[in-house]
Amino acid sequence: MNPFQAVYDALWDLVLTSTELATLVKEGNRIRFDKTARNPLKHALQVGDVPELILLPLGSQSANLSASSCTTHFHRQYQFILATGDLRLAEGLDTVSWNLLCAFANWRAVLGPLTWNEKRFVQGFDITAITDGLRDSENNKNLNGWSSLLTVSVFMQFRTQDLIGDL
Amino acid sequence: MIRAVVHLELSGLERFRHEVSKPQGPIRDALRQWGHRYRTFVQRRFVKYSRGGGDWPPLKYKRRRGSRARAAILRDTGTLFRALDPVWRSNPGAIQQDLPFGIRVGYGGPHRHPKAGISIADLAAIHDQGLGRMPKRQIIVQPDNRTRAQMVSDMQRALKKLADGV
Repeated sequence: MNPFQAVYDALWDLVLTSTELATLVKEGNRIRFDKTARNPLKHALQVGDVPELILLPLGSQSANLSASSCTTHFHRQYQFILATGDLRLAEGLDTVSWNLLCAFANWRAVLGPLTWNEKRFVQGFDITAITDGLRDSENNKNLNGWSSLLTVSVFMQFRTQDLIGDL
Repeated sequence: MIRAVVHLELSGLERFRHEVSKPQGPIRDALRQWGHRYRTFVQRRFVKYSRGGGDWPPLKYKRRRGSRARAAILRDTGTLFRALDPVWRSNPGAIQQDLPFGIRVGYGGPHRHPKAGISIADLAAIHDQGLGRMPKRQIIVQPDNRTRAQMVSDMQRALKKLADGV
């Protein structure tokens, strides 16, 4: 598993360390792109399909290949897309968002121990943006409800020599 | 004579046993998460009890200096408290050891307490068990139901990952 795959997997672990979130967002409603399904997206949501949580890799703000004489820094962004399909704040948006925030606070325990080439590489984790919206047809599909986009940034640091050695 | 020969296909079980005992992988990750969960629980309990919210006997003598007159129990230097930081940082007096299908966390190691003149682990044991003239102020206790439920959830997720071959 390369570091990007490990981080993607660990971000789901991070979310699911919250037993509340693991209960709220059913397994079938966790849309992840690292499984065998070629297209895990659902094109129409039923009431049982929400809350739905999607995790997307968003790309990078910066990749500094010369951060120092021997290290490479990489900030990779990921976005959690939450579709609640529910207009009630307490039952939908606020509950899931709050539990996501609590889960993210645990990042050092989940992302921190990730290793590549026997070295820890995750140096930081931040929430960079949270945007809530109502009647977001793209994310909520055919259901009315609150949706939320949570963008997080994972700061990774590698030994440049290890990267070259992986060629 | 009728003889029945039963062949048990145990290669899957063997593979599972091998995966479980590996030094890395979902099970080990879950066990380390257990360590994190446990330290979170005992440190949160430490905060509550040191403020008089549990069964720890109050301090016998009030400290002389102003703000210290209301000093929290077992929080004089913060060393015992910091050794229980949820995130493992090798703080003085803290241990985390991987065991076969387990993890050991708590106090340990040779670091000396800055004021007591003995090791942090020994001091923790004295308070925890009420040795000598010290009243018993138990720090290392069984996790509460919430923490146990979280641990169960961690291991279920890890086993599912293992079964899925992730």
